[in-house]
Amino acid sequence: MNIIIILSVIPVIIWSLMAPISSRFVDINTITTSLGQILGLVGMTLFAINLILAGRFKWFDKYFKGLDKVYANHSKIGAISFSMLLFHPLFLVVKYIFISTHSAALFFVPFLDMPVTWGILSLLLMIILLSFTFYFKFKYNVWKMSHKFITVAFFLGVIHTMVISSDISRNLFLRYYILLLVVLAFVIIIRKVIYEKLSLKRYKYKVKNTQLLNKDIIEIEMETQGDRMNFNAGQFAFFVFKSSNVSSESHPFSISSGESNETLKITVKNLGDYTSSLTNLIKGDEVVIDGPYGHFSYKNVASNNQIWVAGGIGITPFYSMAQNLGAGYKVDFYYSVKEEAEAVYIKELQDIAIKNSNFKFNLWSAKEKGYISGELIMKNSNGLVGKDIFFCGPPMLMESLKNQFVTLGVDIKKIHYENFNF
Amino acid sequence: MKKLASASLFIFFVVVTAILTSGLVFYQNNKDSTSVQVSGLKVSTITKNKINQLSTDGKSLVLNLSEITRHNKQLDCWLLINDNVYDITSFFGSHPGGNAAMLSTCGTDATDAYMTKDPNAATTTGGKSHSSNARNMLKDYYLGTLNQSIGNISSSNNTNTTTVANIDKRISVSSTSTSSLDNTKTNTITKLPVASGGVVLNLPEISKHNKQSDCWLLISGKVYNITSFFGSHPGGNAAMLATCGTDATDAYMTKDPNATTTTGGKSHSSNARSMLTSYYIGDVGQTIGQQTITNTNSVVAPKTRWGDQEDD
Repeated sequence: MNIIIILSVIPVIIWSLMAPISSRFVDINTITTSLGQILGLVGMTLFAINLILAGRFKWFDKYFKGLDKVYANHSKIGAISFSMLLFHPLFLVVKYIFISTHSAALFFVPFLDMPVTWGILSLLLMIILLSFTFYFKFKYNVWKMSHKFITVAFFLGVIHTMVISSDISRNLFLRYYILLLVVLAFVIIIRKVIYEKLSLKRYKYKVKNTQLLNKDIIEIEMETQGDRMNFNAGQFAFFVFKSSNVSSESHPFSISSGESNETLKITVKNLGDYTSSLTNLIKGDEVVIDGPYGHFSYKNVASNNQIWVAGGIGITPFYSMAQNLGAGYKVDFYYSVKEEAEAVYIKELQDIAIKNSNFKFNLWSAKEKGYISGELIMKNSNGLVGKDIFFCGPPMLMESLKNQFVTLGVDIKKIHYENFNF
Repeated sequence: MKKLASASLFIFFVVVTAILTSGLVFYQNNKDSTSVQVSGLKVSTITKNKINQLSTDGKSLVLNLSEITRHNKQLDCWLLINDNVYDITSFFGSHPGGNAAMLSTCGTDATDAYMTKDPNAATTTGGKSHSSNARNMLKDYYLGTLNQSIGNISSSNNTNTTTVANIDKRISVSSTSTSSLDNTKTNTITKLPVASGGVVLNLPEISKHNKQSDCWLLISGKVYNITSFFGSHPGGNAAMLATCGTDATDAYMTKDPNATTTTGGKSHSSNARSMLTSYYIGDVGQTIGQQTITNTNSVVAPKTRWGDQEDD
């Protein structure tokens, strides 16, 4: 995260050195123009960074402590960049308003001035595409398709940045800085497309078996056709099912099987069109897997004394971790569900708890015991001091539990969670 | 984060809609009734400022470096480019390269900066030079050449002195003749133009202004004085000259000086249309004051005020 802030501050520093700051903030005209320029500069820098972040690199996974965090940052940075770029023309138009509202209006009319037009078109496309993200609930694959066109908006924005006469056109360093980020962004996008199309560096598996665990949850078991993907329990991967009954875009799922198991399993809850279509998979369907990603592992933390909290389908990484829990770890596991019928792997988890006295399994049905809370967990587990806490589940539950634990005095660094929702 | 984006989007739409509505829709409805007054107002205030600047103590003003250095603020900005002195004060806010780049050159020899588009340049090479369009615009801000003396009333009897050039396209004060300067000096001309009364903008009157140096035309019932637009018309001077003193509606609508209908051909852009409004002097049949139309007969109106200034 720090590197992103540094990368976006660099152009502002260069910009501020180009002319005396005092001359940039003289009156309302120069102040608004300067702010408009900064917003445009930083907005485009963040836009480029965001495309780079979408690149799904292994080293991002390492740097950001999990690719799920990268995607969480991606949507945050996207919103910030978008807002900055929206305000960019609003600040720049102020000086025209002082001339006349007519000349201000002409500023927003496309095709009068080509350099400005590129910017208008870019922003317009961005507004349309991001409305899909924020306001209209499309099917995931339709949205994903539409979101790819954001690259076109970026391209138009880059043309605007390069042809308009501005500080970027006057300062060679600034120009090359922006260009470098742009080229990097495009290389990464192209790399991603090629990797996806050719399934490079992907693992090839086949569906071995599918099984409904309850009315909403399906377990898909896969076996490799070549190399086996090694992973740490708790990690996730991107799956593409090559089946005529399932759409072919990639989706992330946590791995629910253990590290040493021969086959690979994912456990998926029916949450929409795509996930419900997974029941149509049949034995022998090909699967292309990109992974593993994620830093959600009980081994990555300081304390061996841990509390795990799963909410609903958030059970999957914990089920994987429980199957291979190393010696010396002491874990209190809370599995929170609305009612018992919703829970899966109860038998298996109880068996693990019987074999390993350091693993305590608590099935928490909200219907019987009320909603789970930080305080109840603290009481039940004899305090929280020094313990590392893991959550995975619906965003609302995670957010609320995180706040409760922080209120109870738990160090935020001791709280680990999986951003399941991307 | 969604809230941030939503709030930004909301503000964006409100502001853009407001500006587009007031700037385009509202503008269309109101420009006819207000433009005469507005242009009249502009002429007087800008001219007054200009005269104030130029005739300090009624003495002559020499455009030398020490004089230029005094005008180093955004509100009063002179600069030197290739031995010509320009007053670019009214250009602030319109410079595509921003105000800051211009401001840092106020009161200095900006030749290098102008040639390279780099306010910190120390040579005329490198960087990118201004476009021919930009060079044309610069002419509008021309004051005189370096070391020239301007605004000197008594000593310029026998010379044609170039004074304040075109501050706004409507006020093009160009070459002043000796006689008018003499008149000014003795204040005899002071009340003349106003006293001469109004002019009716009818066809016989329009047809009198049929030269490049004095060109009026009629477009859709409105009279425009486009004399100062010669040299700036993207379609060339010839096309405009052919329509001086006539009803140019058909020619304007079709971009064809020989057209006899308003259809066919290509119409002018909205940008062009907005430029045209700055040359508007009145509706056909309207009676207007001498002052508005003397813009391109130039010398007289501003000189009059110059005389007023001296009276004060």
